[in-house]
Amino acid sequence: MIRISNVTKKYGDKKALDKVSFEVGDGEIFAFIGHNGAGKTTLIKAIVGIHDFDEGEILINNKSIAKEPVACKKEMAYVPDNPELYENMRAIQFINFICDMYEVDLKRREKNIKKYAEMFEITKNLNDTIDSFSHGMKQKVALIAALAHDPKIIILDEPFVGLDPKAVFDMKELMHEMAKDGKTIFFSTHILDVAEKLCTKVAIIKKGKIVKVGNMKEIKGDKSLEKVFLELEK
Amino acid sequence: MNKFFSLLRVSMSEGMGIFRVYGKKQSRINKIGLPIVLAIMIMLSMAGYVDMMMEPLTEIGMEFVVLTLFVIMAALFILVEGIYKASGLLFNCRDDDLLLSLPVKRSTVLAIRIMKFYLFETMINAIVFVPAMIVYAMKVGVGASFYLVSLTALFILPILPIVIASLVGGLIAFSSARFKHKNLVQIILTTLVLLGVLFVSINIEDILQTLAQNAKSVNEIITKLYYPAGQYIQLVLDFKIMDYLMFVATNVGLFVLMLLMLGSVYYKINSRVKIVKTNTVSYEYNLKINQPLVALIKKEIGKFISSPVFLINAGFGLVLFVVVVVLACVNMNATLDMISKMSFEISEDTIINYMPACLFGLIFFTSMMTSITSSMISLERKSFNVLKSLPTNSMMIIMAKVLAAVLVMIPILLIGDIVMMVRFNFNIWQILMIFASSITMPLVAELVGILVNLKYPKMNAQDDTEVVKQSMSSMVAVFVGMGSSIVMLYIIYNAFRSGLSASEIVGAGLLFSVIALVLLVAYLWKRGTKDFNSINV
Repeated sequence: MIRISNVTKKYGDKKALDKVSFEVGDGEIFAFIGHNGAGKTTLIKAIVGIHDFDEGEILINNKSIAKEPVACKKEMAYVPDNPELYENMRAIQFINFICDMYEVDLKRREKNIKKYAEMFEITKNLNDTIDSFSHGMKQKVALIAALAHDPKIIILDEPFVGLDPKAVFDMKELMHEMAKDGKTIFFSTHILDVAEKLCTKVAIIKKGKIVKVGNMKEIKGDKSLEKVFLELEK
Repeated sequence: MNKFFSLLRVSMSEGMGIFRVYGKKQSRINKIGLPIVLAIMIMLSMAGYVDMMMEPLTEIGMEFVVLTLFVIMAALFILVEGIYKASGLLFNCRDDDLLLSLPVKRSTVLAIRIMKFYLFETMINAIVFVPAMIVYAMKVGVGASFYLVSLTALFILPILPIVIASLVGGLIAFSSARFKHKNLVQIILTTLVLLGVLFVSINIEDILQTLAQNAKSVNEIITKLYYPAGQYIQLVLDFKIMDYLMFVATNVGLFVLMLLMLGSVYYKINSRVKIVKTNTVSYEYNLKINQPLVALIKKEIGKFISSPVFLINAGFGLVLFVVVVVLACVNMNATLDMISKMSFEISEDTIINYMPACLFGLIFFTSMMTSITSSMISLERKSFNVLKSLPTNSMMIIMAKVLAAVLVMIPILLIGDIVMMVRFNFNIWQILMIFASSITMPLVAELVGILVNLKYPKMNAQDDTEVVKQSMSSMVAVFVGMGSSIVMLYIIYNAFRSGLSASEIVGAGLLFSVIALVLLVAYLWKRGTKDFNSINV
């Protein structure tokens, strides 16, 4: 569960986040949408403990990210929008490094790496260095590394960008499967069709403020999510 | 032509953003003023050195020797710097995709890169050569022809070293591209070439000594060894318009020849350099569990050895340490001879007795000049967010960087210590104190490096070269290293002069390094996490 209460983040005088509040429950797939520069990535980085924030509180399974960052991070996985990985490493080295940091036991890491590498069809590339990979391949490596430690909460910034159609399909199936297992999935996206079909809840952010948040059906009513979003942006 | 100059301007400004500090808006004074002040300071020091050398040469009417020396010094500097830079400035450039997609000819793209390379090296030439030129003009009283020839030389003399550096750099890039671990091969080849240049430079010292004693005849030797220098000196001493035209024509001709040669093979080399060998044979992998700290240290060492520019830049001090230790042990007589010739009026026995103090000075100098950590935070660039999202505290990440750096340095220093101890029969206290210094000094140097990098991170760099060679952090670390080394060597020399024994000098030095270590750890503990967390990418 992620609980965000009155989070404000300023860059100088400008408020990048302005009293943002909402909650993402266990087993939910939550879409976070907004135009470029609205504050999506800033909030995501605050949730995963990369950026500090000026006011408010973020709780990860009832623990404060500001007060207990290490304990919170252990329960989460984060995949950035532009996966800047360690290019000198082989893919398997990078994934193993992340597993070391999360102290994943050998049996579990072997099982998970095999499972997700096969799912994303990257097994034969695991011994290649990351600098030889395309954006999509790097995204797959980042996803495998994130999922290998069985996180309870998964935070994804634009997860579908750069993935091939098969990987996008598998990713969506996986998100459903994880939600069924009670895991929390929070992701930002510009692909509103996917958000509409995939998610149970949605939040729309505009100029650092949440302008709509709730169940997908409540938010969009009879309209499409795209139409609702564009009306709010006017 | 407009396209050419606007692309060149963009390309130069990208490469010259030396003092861009991440996260702070900088004034025009910072952007342009600081590099200029720095260059002027170096040039003034050079001018002082030239002035000092001129005095004895004026007495024997051989003032032009100064010009010869500085022309050769600039050429050697450009050659070493050029070989090192060619791979980053000419080949495997990050802006390849962007530039080659623009509606400009491929030859224009190549011309921009060569021009950028040429302009960088000409600036280096100016910093070394202009002080000699000005002091010579002031002392000797020269005619208009001197200014014409010297100004021409300013732009023409870098050509030959640039041509050699480009060809050697291209050859290294081309040869290493054949291998799967091309970075490693590139590091080995570049190090071998640089050591070769160093070896030749050391041997040239004999010639330079003869030059000082018998300048006129040796100037002829120099002409044969390094033709452009000879041509230039000839024109300074006896200006003839035909010789001047010949001077310009031969060097410009050489440049044109290089353009033609490089132009025909450049894109073949460049595309070959860009090919990344992938693993098509083995799909097997072994997973090994590491403790988080060990995993972080392995990551840092992996980064260090996989980046040619990082390894060569940071590791060169260690290579010099090994060279000095080997020279001292293998050819001690020549070393003692050299020291006694430096008119310190010290007997050979005294030098051997004070060898532990000399070794301490060398350990201090090597440690302070090998600041690996001063680039380690900045080298994370955007992957810094990966680190920040990991379930570990910031101090562990910082300490992993420091430990990785000292793990690279300490074994080399200890091996050097053992060789020196066996060769010069240190007593037990000296052995223990030198070993302790070889552990504490790298820690001090790397703690200084990490603190400087936390203060001046450069997270938006395009590549490793920009971080390692052009960031505020690495420059501050170099200046701190040089400054503290000069002060320490001065203190050691004066301690020796005042009659302290070698053991007392090493003991005092060790005590100083332990105190510095404690203070730095305390400061890092207080500030480290805060500074680390305040870096946003």
